Amino acid sequence: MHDIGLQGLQFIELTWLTAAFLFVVGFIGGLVSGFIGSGGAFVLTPGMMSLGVPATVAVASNMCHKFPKAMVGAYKRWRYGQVDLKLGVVMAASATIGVQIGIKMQEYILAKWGEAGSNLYVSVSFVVVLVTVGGYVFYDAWKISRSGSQEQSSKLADWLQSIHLPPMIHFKTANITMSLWFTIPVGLATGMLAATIAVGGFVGVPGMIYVVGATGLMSSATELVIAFLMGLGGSVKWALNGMIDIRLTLIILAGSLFGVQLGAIGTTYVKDHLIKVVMGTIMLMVAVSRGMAIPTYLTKLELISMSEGTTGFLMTCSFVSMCLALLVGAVIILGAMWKAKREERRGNLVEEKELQHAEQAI
Amino acid sequence: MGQSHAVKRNKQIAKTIAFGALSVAMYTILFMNSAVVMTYFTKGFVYAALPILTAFAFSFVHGTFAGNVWSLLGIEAAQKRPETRPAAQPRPAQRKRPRPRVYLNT
Repeated sequence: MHDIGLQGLQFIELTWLTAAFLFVVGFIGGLVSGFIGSGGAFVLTPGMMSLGVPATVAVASNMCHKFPKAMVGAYKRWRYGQVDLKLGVVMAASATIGVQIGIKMQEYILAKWGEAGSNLYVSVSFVVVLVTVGGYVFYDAWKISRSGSQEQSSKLADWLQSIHLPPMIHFKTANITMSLWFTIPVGLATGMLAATIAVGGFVGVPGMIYVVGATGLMSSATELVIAFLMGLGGSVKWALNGMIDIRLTLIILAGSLFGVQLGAIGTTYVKDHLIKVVMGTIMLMVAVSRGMAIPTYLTKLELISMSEGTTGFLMTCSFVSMCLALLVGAVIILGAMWKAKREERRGNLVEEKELQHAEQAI
Repeated sequence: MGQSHAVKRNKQIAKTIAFGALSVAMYTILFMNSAVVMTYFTKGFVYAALPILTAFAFSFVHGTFAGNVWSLLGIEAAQKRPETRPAAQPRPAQRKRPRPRVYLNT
């Protein structure tokens, strides 16, 4: 175990530019995570790899920054009454099993079709899951926004909650009573996706909304508990192998601890359906980004032929659009916060004026 | 009331400076000794506790500092309680439908 970490490990030389890049991406990723419960990891890992960090070190260092960030975010949102701890723990337990299943699947694909096959599988999973789930989340958010109605629980969640199949669990904060058997598949899918595309929250949050029946606000907050527990477990595993570059972890953490708290504060200002808007937008943009990478892997598997220049260009476009997805999410969050804060200030001014008028009248 | 607000703000400024200084000190110590740190932190086995505990320690110190910075900038949570959905109604008990019976008078 000890030797694995030392075999050919190359830790990069840090420059001010590298540190600044990691700090900024950490801040934006933290902001999105604090708001929708996940995100950031899908840009940070390839981002670090583009700086020359070996893939395993990038994954390990990213995970080690994820669990303290999620812990701070979960604590902040728990104080706002948005976290259902029991739901988080139940989901994290089944997600841990899901991760193991996902790893086994990855290992099987890697052994059978090699690295290009494994990359193709990851990209196709990205596109299929994100287009399906992200598309539905975005459609739901658009429907709520257009009708101006309150967020309603899904028919599926209502039906599942009405079935009495022991053991039944009551989630107090979310005010949901449901059979354990219906929460397990959501957790398993979260874990499997986390093992495949490193962002389990893209299934975990919609799963808690549409299958379990929690609100978007509560699901995104509870996802931070899952991210903390799973991130801690994963980090211990990587640390035992000596793969964590603590310098990279702490630079990202320096930015993300600012971002995650700002994102958590943001949830108290905006309308609840905005969480779905941000999540759906990011998921669809990431799906497009990963879709751009598919021709490269198909070329490597000799299923299609494409020039090196074209595949290189597509990979660059893929990475840039992924960064753009995170940036767009951050802009929507900050814009909505700014608008809500301005309205709050305007409301306070009106109240003050009315009070002055009333005093003058007396 | 105005005075108590000023006292509270001064306390918050002091707390922010203290945690900020501690955070800077921790980062400086770690990066000044990065060669030694990297040697021990990547040894694995029992040394695995080092990166995990360090991440916890930095998240506490730097996280408190970051939270206080936002508060000082006037960015604090709005007073809004999250809504919960009403619990689903239990399904009505299934009752046996009366079977039609035919009586024949023979």
